[in-house]
Amino acid sequence: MSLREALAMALEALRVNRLRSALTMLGVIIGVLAVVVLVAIGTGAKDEIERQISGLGTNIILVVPGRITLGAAPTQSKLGLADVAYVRRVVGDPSKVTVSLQSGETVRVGRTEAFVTVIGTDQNLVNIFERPVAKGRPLSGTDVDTRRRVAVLGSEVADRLFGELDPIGRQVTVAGARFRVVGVYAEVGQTFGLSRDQEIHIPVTTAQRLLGIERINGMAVGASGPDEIDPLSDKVTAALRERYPGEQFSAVTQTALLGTVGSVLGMLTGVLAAIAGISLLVGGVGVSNIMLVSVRERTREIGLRKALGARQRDVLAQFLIEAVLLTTIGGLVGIVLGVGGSLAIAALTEVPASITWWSIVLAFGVSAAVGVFFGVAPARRAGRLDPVIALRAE
Amino acid sequence: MTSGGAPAIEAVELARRYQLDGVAVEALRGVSLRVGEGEFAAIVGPSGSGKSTLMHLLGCLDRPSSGVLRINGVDLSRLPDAELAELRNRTIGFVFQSFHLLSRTTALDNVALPLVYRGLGRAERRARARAALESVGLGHRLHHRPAQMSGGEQQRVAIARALVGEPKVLLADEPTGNLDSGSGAEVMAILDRLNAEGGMAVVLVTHDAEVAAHARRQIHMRDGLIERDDGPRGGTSGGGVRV
Repeated sequence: MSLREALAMALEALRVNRLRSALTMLGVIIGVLAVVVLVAIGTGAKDEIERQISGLGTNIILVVPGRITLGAAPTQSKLGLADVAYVRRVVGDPSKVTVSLQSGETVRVGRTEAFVTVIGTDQNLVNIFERPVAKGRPLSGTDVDTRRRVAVLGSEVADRLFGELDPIGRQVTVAGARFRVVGVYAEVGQTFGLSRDQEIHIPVTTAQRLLGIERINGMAVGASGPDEIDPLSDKVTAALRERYPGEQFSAVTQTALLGTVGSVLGMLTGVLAAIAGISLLVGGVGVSNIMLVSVRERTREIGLRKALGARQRDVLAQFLIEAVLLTTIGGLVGIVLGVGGSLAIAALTEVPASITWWSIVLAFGVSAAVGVFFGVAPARRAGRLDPVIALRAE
Repeated sequence: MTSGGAPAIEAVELARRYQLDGVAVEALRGVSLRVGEGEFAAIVGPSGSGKSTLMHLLGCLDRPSSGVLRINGVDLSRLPDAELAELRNRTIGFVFQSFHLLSRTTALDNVALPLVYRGLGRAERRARARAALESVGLGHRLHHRPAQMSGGEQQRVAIARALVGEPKVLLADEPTGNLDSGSGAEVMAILDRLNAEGGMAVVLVTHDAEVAAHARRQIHMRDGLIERDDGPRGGTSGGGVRV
């Protein structure tokens, strides 16, 4: 019996039991659908976060006190502005080092209030981070040196507080003190779920006085090229350790961040795929079950086929092909629905979803393998039926 | 009808034992038999006499516990399963009491089924199946399904299926058992004609003396043994058989 004959025979058998075939396939369809969609969401989330990290700027090194480990509470900072000056000398180019002192504060314009992240920083921020100014000007060196009460607003803050009005030159109250708006940043989106458009930047010196804090949270250093990142990180942390013997300092680079985030999200995607894979496996058990029922139901047919000259392997092939057709057709339908579903999710919701070819190949391969694996036992049972007994069966 | 070479069927001391719930059942206890090419024999006997078991052995559906069986000169005991299947496909045609047609399949495809396992192409299968159906007078029923046909027609489809592969031996197990007398007579007439024209050996199992009378040789079985065998002479048209 040729493969074509066997295929035609199996298709005919599936067609005859349309409803049962469809219901059996449903298990596989749902499994494959789940694999494709969940992997698409996992991959989409990873792509999105990588895009956000890259969107910060290029060749950035974040210098923070303590050792960075995932899940650990941030270390109490000991760094102050004197240390920033020290790092500037170590790096050599003062314009490539900036500072950050953050606090959540309420800001107010007239009766409109908003809770925002107030960041004390300096004129070098825009040299290091990708942070274009849409209106007005960024912070200047003079602002920092003379502790001016000036602020540059994130785009969302400007919208919330001033609406249609031009904020430049207007007053904004930050933590009870009045500031003059000198600039508004262009929209940059979010990083790690925090919108950078909800920030207000003020001179770090002003921030220290306003909030009563001497310590800074961290520094950012801009390397001149990708090859400079690692040597410069080592140089800066070594210099700080020399200044504070016994203390730890960490340099976080975008590459390291991307690596960590990538591996965490890769793991997440793997877990999602594995959960979806379990449902595919359950679908396979359903196929096995139905094939066993089918073999029992068609015992007389099997006996007859053997009497007419079907060999054991002809009967085995017939039932195995039926099982594999069930799972592969189910797999294809699941892939189509999964791709459609992922595209719909990406288009209609905030959830990022990006379809990966490997999830499709994997889902199809696994569904075919599930058909073979779960089809073999029923098919062998069919192939081994004794024709005399099978012909007598009712 | 001269037969040259090996007989169609040759059995020597065939025995078949079963284990039924741990109890040994001797269905056949040493049956020796020769059926020549083109012969027409009826195996008769009460139920439980072993005639169905013998039929299954002759049809290569089962293997004997002991004894030798040659079909068309081939010793079955040495054949692996796959070759046994091929022998069933090429040398033997089966007709069953309950027809055993595939219910969702047309007459034409039912008849063509054995040729699928012979590896023939679709067009040739269909041509041969059509010819076989025409030879049993069902040229007008090619695309009917079994449920759309009478019992007699269904059994004729089954006969067409048995002879589409041009076997040496046609085995019929109570071929008229499920038919009314009219349809039964039609079926028997076809078997008579096939035997006479085609030179195909026909062995049928029956309870029915009238059916058995079609055969030129009667083999009476009882308790797993041949009680009486008024052949293989040919020409004794069942005159001595009681009802």
